[in-house]
Amino acid sequence: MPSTISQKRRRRAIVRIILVGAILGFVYSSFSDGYQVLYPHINTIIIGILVGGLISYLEFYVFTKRGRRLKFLYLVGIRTALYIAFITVIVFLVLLVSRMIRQDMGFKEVLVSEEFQYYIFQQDFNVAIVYTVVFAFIINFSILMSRKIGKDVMWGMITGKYYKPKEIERVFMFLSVRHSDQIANKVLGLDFHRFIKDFFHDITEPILEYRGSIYEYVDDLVVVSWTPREGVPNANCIRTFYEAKKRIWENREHYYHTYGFVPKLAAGYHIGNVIQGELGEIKSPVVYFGDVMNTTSRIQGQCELLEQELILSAHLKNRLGLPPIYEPASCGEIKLKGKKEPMELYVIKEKPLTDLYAL
Amino acid sequence: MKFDASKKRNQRTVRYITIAGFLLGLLYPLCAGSMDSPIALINGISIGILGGVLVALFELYFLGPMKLRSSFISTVLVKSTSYFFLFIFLILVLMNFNEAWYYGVGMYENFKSARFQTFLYDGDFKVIVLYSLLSVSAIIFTREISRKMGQGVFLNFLTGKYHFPCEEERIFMFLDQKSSTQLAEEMGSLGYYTFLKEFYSDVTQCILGVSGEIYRYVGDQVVISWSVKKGLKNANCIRCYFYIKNEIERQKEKYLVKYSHIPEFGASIHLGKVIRGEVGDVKSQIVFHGEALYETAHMEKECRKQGFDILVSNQLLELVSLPVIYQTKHVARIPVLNNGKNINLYTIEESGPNPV
Repeated sequence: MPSTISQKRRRRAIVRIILVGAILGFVYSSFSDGYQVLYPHINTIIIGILVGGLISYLEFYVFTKRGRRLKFLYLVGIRTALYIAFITVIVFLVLLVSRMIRQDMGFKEVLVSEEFQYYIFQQDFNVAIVYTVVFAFIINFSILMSRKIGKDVMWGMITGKYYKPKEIERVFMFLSVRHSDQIANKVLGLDFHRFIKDFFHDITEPILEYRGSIYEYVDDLVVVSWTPREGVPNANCIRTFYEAKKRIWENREHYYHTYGFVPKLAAGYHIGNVIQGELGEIKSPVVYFGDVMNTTSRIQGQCELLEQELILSAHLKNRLGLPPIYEPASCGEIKLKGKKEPMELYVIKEKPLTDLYAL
Repeated sequence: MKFDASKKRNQRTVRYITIAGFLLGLLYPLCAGSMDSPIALINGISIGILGGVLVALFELYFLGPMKLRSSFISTVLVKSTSYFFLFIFLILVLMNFNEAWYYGVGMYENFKSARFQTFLYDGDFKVIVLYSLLSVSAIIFTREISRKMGQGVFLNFLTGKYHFPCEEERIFMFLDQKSSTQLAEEMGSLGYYTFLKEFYSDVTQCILGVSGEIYRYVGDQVVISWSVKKGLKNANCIRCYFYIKNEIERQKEKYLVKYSHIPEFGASIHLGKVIRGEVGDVKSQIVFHGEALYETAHMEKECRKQGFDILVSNQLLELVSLPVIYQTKHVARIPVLNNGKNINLYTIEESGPNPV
């Protein structure tokens, strides 16, 4: 079930954000109050957890798909305003309730008590707010940024993973729309751009759900890659394609209505060793470099020639345990352009309905 | 003169980092709640601004270039120790200076005063140093990200300029290695990768120097683009090729020794209308879509097939005012995919020094 996978992903992210919130809360109280007494830590950790929850709620349930189309800075502005409002309320209430419990007083009593009044107006209340807001902003900014450049890449940049080139094995999928020449002739200018944008939008979730990382977009092509550990078990890499196809099918009315046709997909798969590293000082967080990339591209090119939607190399097929509903069929040894040796390629077909219904 | 655009770029970097320093310096007293006397604010801002300028200069001229040579760990170590000492020094000197001025005492006197000594040993001194270092790492990291995303892309993500696609006219240059398959076979993938990395690193300066924007790398091909204004000015888009050629010529010994091969490359330059917009919710990219790109790719195929060094389309040549040392020669005419339009292709040669 794809929806459960994305739920899991979301839950993981929420846990992480709340954890960061709690840690940042603890850091604040350690700096401002030392370790003599316990209650400031409890307060700040509770505030951290609540603010983390607030961020998760707003990010995952309020500012979703539609929100992402807004301007980034505008978005950050709206968010910051909302956060300041909510955070002030949270900090205020937590401090208040903590005093109610500690001093065994009623809500109103604490509110008018001299000590609380003093803290709010004279002491660190505003500092606590500024601190919380600044970090809420930073967390937000990092979430947006890591979406923009890809989570793995951002983490790799922090840890210096791409500094030294190294050879690694990866599964590649080149996915694009079929008959792209005809489409380019039919859908012109801005419409073409919008079409590509919609297409990429629809296939993004399926890719993430099956743990693929988007490497780059080239015209109407998206290059997706997996480590063998992510892509091979459960035939994740192949399932991505069928999930994407399903999404396109679900949105067929939109495509037909807006562009006059529903796109068909074409995907080529291959696995092999590539060099992972940086290339060029500008505009290249990480590149994969090697013959495998060319080969995958050529395999994908066969989709048009053979009138197929999915073709994979024998090399990858042998590594995958395909789910029983899918059947591989060999299309024989094919000599790809720029290759000396012919390669054996496979297509994958879903079993026919009669087979599925047969008892 | 030659690297005019690079200088401007560096100035911009200094400006941005200084502004960031100023804001971060302003933020500290606000966060630390020491708003009772203006001295905290003065200290924060002065350390922020001066620190910003110094970090920018360090990054541009001393520590930035070292990234090319050394490993990640040693870069991090060298940078953090140098900024650690830099900021200890800066904070001590500036705070002393400001406070001495504010309280009307001598600097040494202020340093020896009980207030300053408590601040140094029991007070917020270490917190301030820590805060400065964190700020510096945030700045360096943001700059790195913005470089990796490409020129202007980071800024666009902040302002969301390309959320709504727009049409513009641009000049494109496809620059690719000749006989790449053969080279890749000879050198092996890692060898060829290092070779290309070195080549791109040499080329980048030339491209930035003529205001070119690197659009993307596709294997051994770089796509560079200019706005029409920047590309035509000074014939930047044509000069770009010759700058690169001269640069490689100058460094050919290095390539011969290291790889026993000198990079040979072909360039196809064209201009046309494209749509520029942002695609992808995850790993967003700013992309160009449009016929101009297909046409340039078409030219590049021709360039590759016939082994030209540089091919320029008539659409571009009509607009550019070519410096006198370049001569054009008509070499081919290719049909464009579907609308029956033709592109005339010219190659350009640099004439030798004329006898006077």
